[in-house]
Amino acid sequence: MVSDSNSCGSKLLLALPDDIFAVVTRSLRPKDVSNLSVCCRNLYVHASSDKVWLTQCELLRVIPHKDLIEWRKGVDSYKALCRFLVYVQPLIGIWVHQNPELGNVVYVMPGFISLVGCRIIPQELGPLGIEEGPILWSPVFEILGNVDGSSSFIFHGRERDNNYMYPGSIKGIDRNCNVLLLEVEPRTQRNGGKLVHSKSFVSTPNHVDKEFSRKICPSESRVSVSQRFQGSKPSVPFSRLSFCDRKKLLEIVTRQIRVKVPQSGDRLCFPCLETEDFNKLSERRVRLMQMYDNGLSTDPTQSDLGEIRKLFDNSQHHRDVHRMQSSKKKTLAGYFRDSFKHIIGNSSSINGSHEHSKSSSSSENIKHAQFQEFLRSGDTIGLTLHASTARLSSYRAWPNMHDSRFALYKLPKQEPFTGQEHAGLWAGTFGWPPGKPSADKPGKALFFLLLSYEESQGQRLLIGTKILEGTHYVLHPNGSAMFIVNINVPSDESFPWDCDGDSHFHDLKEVFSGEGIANGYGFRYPGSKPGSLFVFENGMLVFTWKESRAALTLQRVNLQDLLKKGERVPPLPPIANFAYLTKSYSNVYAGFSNALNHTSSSRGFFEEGVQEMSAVIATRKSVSGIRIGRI
Amino acid sequence: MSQTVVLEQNAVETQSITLKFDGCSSDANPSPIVNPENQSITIKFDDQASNHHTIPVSIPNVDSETEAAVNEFLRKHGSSDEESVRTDAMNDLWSFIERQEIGTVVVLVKFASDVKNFELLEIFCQRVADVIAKKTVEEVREIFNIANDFTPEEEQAIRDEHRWAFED
Repeated sequence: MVSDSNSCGSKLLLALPDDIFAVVTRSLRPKDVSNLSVCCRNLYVHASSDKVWLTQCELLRVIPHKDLIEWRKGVDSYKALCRFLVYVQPLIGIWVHQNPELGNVVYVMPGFISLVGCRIIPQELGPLGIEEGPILWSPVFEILGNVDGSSSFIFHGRERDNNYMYPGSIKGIDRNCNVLLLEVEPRTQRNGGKLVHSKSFVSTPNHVDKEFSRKICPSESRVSVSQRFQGSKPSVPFSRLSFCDRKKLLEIVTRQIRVKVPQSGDRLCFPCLETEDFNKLSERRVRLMQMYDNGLSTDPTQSDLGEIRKLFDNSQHHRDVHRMQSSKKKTLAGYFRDSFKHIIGNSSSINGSHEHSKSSSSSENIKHAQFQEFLRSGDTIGLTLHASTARLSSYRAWPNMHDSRFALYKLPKQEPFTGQEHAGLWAGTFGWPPGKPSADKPGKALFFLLLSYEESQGQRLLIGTKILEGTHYVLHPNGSAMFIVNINVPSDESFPWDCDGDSHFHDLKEVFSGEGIANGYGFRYPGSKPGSLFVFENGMLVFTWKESRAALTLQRVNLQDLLKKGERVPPLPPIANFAYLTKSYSNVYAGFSNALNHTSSSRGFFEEGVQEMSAVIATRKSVSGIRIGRI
Repeated sequence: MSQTVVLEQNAVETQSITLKFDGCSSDANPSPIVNPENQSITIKFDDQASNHHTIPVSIPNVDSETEAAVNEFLRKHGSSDEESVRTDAMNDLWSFIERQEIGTVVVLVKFASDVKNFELLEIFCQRVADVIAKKTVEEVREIFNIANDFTPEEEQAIRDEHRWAFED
């Protein structure tokens, strides 16, 4: 009886219609649906249906249903789409870096069959207010979804008044990643460029088998060019190389692989996020993928190698370089192995501060040996993105960061729910009443704060962490708490200003007391002064400093919506466009020369890069005395 | 079988009609039949779907105990609008189903789909999913009595194809 029922059941499982099968798999994860595919031929066909995988895509909640339908048109199947979404989902969110101190915020969000990383630059409030802005942003990177669901990494930058894209790979995305690293990886070419694929089990007469074979043996034309190269696992990981070596490698690779984005193809520069014209977005994607394939498949030409030699060129080492030049087509790695000896020598003299001057030659040798070991792992090198999980300490929702890694750090997601109603991203300006800037008034600096909750000594605190500010010179470190209030104890303080003129601000909901940021012992160690947080019925928050009567007015913002209506500005040169490691207290992204330490031109950056490195080390230890009286 | 509704004319002067239902509610459009003797109107509900709430259903390929449990659910669930009663009915059915062979549950999925009862479908599909979740391929094959008709190379190719789903 029992076995009859079971065998009957298994037959019925295989015979269930598609939509009923999808109801069953709705409660399963992609892993379990994949397991079903492996069970037998019939289940493979069932479990591969678009209905099943559309449901899986919906369960991920990365993009709304109507976008899934559109994205599906650019990939082979919903299974492929699910593969892409599952892979890239951990990247979605707000990524930051300590430097520049005004703020470095990169928001990673869905594009069009892609993820896009957009940097929100420090700026003043736009003419249309916070909601309509338009907010200024610049492109950082894109991760394209290929037709089979695999991913390609495209980095964006600007050099000498031209926009470039830098095609690369993705080393890996940890599910719980919190650090995003730009790296160089050694690569080996696979089997002379062709993907070897066994076809011994194709072509059986049965219809199901044909269908099955077609599904699991994709034609070679659909395999992307990026699969021609395989990243090799070097015995010395990129992160262990010295800062100098890492920087030089990134510079060399970006110089070599860059693809100029044509001026006329403005649509190519970055997805125009507001447009709903999916045809145009599709066209753009196809062109972008072609450029990507071209960029990756080009072997280094003589002129590229010439560029590399120029970078290494040092008057003392001309002879050595010429000697290398005389040999026939050497591999890129070959040039590096010989040339980098000189770089290691150079870097020790350039990096004139404590890092190298005190070290003995043996540590130089170790670094050199590690570098050789790194390059030995492949016959070419390429750009790669690596999203890893690091053990990071944090202070008040702001991670403690390395100074010398080309990295972005993920802010923990803050979602509002009962008991944490105000958690999330807020934006606002100083001054009361809040309003749009007018012709006769100067622009108001736009502040972005991440609000989060913390338990401390039996008290529940609401913390407003500053992540971006649009002033010209920053007053307090990036990631400082602009205010901390105790939400266990409501205050009965009254709002210091009259709201008669404007009915919006009449309804005060609750008030909390606490402290707001103030000048302390220099830049690095701000102090605090008493203040109160006023919560209004219309959702607005206002924090006021008791003594100075300064007011910071905040409203909740949705970055995706803001960016969709935003205005694109040019990116920085590559590498700086990812992580700007030179200590700065001004707006490096805006292109105006308020900068203390550097100019905004790309040439200037590279030439001064060396001196700036010393500055980094020097200022890291010192306490800046910049002070502009306001609060 | 059909439900009948009897309308009684209780006051000739006012010409008012009282509706008395001796069955449950249904969305079906009734066709009235007038009985001239007592001025009553009989409305026959011919829609089969509406009858599930009180009429025991017969389920092919399951034992009598299972059939009884499903019918008990339908009776309880359909008898009241109260949330607590409906939840109790669901919990009872759920506990019963958890003790059954998976083959029976799949039969019930098919049945629920055929009769378009979406509450039953949800419960039975969820149970099947629970049995599949977090199991290995070999375990799923054993539970559902599925014969592996792949060659080793084919199986490896499919596992490779889905490798992305297993990266935690």
